Amino acid sequence: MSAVSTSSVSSAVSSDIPFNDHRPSFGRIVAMILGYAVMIVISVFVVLPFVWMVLASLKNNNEIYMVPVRWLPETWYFEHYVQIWQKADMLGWLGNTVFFAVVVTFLQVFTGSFAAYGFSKINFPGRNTLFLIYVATMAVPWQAYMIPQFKMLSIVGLNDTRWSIILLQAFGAFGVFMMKQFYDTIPDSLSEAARLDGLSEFGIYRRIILPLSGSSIAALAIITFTNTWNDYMGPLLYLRSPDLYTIQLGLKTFISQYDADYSMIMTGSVLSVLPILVVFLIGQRQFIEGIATSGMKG
Amino acid sequence: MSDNRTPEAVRATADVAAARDNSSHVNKLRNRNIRNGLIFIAPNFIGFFVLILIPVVTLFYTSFTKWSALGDPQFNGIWNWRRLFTDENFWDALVNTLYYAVVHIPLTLALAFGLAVLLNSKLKGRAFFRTVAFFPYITAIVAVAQVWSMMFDPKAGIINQFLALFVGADHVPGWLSSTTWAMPAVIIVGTWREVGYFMILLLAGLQTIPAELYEAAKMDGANAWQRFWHVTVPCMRPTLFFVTVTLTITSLKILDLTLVMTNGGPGTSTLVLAQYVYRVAFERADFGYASTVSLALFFICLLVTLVQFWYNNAKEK
Amino acid sequence: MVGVRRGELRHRLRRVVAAVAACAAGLSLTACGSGGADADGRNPDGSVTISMAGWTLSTRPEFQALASAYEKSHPKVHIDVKEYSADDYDKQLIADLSAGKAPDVFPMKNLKMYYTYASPGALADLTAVAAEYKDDANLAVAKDYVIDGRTYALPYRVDATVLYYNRTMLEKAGVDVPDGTWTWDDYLAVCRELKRKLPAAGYKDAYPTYHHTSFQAIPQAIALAQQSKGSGVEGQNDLFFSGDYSYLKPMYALFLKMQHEELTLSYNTVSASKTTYQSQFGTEKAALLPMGTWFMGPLADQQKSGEANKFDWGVAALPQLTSATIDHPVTYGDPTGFAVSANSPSAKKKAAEDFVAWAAGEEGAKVTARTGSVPAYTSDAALDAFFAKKGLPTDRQSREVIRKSVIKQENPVGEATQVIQDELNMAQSSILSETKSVDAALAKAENAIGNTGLLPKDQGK
Repeated sequence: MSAVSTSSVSSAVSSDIPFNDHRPSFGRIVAMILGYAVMIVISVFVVLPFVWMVLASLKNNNEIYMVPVRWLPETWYFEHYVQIWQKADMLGWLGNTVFFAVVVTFLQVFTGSFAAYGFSKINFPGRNTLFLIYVATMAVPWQAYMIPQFKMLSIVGLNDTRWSIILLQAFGAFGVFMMKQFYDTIPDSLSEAARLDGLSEFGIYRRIILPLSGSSIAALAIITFTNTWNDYMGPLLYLRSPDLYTIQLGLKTFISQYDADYSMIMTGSVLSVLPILVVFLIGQRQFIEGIATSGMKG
Repeated sequence: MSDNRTPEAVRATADVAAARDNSSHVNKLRNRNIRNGLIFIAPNFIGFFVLILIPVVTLFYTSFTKWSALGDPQFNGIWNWRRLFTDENFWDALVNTLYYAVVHIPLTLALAFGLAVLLNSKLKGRAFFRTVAFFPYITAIVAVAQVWSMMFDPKAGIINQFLALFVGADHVPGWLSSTTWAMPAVIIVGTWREVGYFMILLLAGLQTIPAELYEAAKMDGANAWQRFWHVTVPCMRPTLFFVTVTLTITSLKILDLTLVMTNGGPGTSTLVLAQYVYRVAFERADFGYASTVSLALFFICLLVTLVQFWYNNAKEK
Repeated sequence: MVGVRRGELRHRLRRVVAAVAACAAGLSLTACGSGGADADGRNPDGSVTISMAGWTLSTRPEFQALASAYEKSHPKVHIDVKEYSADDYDKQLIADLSAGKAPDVFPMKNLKMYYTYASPGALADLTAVAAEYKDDANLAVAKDYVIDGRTYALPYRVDATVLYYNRTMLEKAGVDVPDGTWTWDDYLAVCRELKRKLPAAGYKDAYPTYHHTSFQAIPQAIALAQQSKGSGVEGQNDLFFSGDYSYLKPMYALFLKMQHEELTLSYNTVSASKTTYQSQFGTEKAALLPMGTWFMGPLADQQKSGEANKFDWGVAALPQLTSATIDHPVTYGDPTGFAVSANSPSAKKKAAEDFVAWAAGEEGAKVTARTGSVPAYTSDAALDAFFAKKGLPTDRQSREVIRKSVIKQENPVGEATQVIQDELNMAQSSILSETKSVDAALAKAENAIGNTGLLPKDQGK
């Protein structure tokens, strides 16, 4: 945010979007104010479900799904945010989820960008076929093969261990595909020149490619982190020990056979968004920096 | 790694240079590329092969079996595949899935790209708007479904109250309670939810474009539109390709949204293929037929993806 | 030079592998479990530890209470209750059974998937254990678990569907409370009367009744139970597996009529708002509610905690098709039971079977009843334990309805059960959202069900 607030009015013109070419005039200022007004209205619209979630977390159960709809709680149950820590092992769930999300994100980014370099910058026979196989598996719905996968991991005794969730999430084709496409935007001439300079492949990866891919790694990290954080089916299928529960799985324990503690679920959901927001804010700082240092200076 | 000018490295330079004009060295280069390629790919590929590829390949077998997930699959020939053709639910789901994809893909792509370009500019408060744009993706899906259902309420919903101003209260759509309008409603929410996600990917792509290219284009007297079409779009081709393929696959595999919002209803009007797979597998414990339906979905995805790959290659040349 | 480069890479890889291995050593610590048991599953000290699946362990004491009570009277057995999801229990159980990793004892949540679980030999044969209750009228629902003469599970609780009524609202409006003799025609007439009288009694946005049509059983299982012949499972099976679902039509006609007249929230409102019946009845937005007896305990709790309004309520028999059945009103409800894993080692299996038989009987029933659930074993002592809970209605009718009702299955047991229910679920959505006519929706379902070839008539049975 600081980078934004220090920029002067005249530098608020961008070089890469149309219409932003001229010095500010009266008409432009009006247009800008109007533009911001529209964007703020849209923003409100975009966060509305989140606002509902926050309000729902402050209601009692029967008020949440009442007909006709009532937005504001009759009584504000702020104590829900205290109760949830006592009613359930929220801290344990958060700890497990952070662990899974961090490990999976690290593995996905590390192995994904490594493999992507192989696919993008090293020309070996069969690489296109292999790459297509990677992408093709993305097209298979997981619900269809989750049982064979579960059987395999169970045979080696990995069900109900932390390993299951890590292995399940870390090697998807998504990261490889994404990083490969970003590496394709980096001209091959760079890596070839480095090769001629005698840099090893690993050296090219680390010293040429990696420094240029800050924003794409940040994007992959944000997305992998969010997906692992919000995954429900994986933990549902694999985890049985309460001390391994993730937050999404844990929140479901508020649903019993015939009824549910919806206000606790909403309270937990609001809390569980906060860590993702932190990761997002850290990640997107990469973007702002990215724009300042973009280019081949490395 | 700072000692990159070691004698070995110097020799490597010589190797590469020699390989250019010596055909016996072409093989050497080839072998080295194979070896290096495999080393880079291996850490991911081993995990991918064992954990994803093997289970996926088993589907090709189970699609020819009767299997409730318990006990061993019983081979029953092409019965499942023949069933596909007379299965009304499958065809309904196929049509719905294509309907969703055909509208959702261009809409999301255009909005996400526009938003990414806008939020990549030096717009004041862009960090705030980026965060806001990502919010739909991280809001719990039950909350998303709930709020949109309220807004789509045929009588009390804000959307129809607005529309009634233009078309009159008698002509407003029934949205989630209508077989005609339920899918458009799902598409609207799907787009609303995913724009932020794809914006992040596109934003990352935009940032790998060297600023020098814009400077150079500016020097050549290109205006903003020209810079957009001649610098941004070509440089973004690999990213756009990735986003298009991913968007296509996720659209054809859409599941969680219909599951929570409509559960496929009313009737089968928003039943999509992935949800049908899910239903057949877990509601009907028919994992054999679920494999068959998912392979049908897989072949459709593959066909579309191959066309996209082919088109992309043709463009690159 | 290649050697050096490769060496460097190998060195790096080795460091990574070492790091991962160290991590793995830390991780796998959580994997250990019942170490030290012999091949029969007996611990070195001669005791036996069995595992058992349950759900909502921290908020609902049901499973832990049964386990603890059994351990008290059987000191040689230890029961380790594992947390499963109440919502997605069947997905977890399918995965477990598929991989042979199921706990020794696990619940059968309802009868919908019972045939699927029982048929490939994943469940231990409990026929010999069940013989104990063969002639015990208090455990009549045990017969629901019989497939081809063999039993694979025993019930520990059962919930009949009854008619809840808000006595306070009805009396304020000046309408007679249900007396257990109602037919559906009477029910409709009372709802119309309420529609007129409720606003004057101060209930402005309340409806006469609430049909929780997110459950397909309301009205489908009601129709099946009341239209099928006899009191046993045979008549019901004949109807359900016939492939002809026209028996649902009268009930749908009634439900459609009632939502047109706004005597209940419409299906579209229910599915869009995700309304809960707890909210509708608990906050006095509906004066009547056909619902399972499972709601009695939670309603009392909610009134105590203030989540539900304070009002006087009771339960009566579900309205009947004709007055011929009012002495023994016909209703539906699947039992919840326990099954034993066929894979468990012999000592564990024996202990598990004994536990399941105990939970089904009077001792288990008393424990179940004290946790606020209606036990499957309906002896006086067990029902006394249930009604001892504070906040439950104390009138005679509310107590008698559980014993008087003929409880038929929500899900008749057979190979086609799941397919039929899923197709009829889609039909319900078409019918009650009024996007298809009753005839067209049922014809589509019948056609789809026929196409699977799973009906008994298609299999030459």
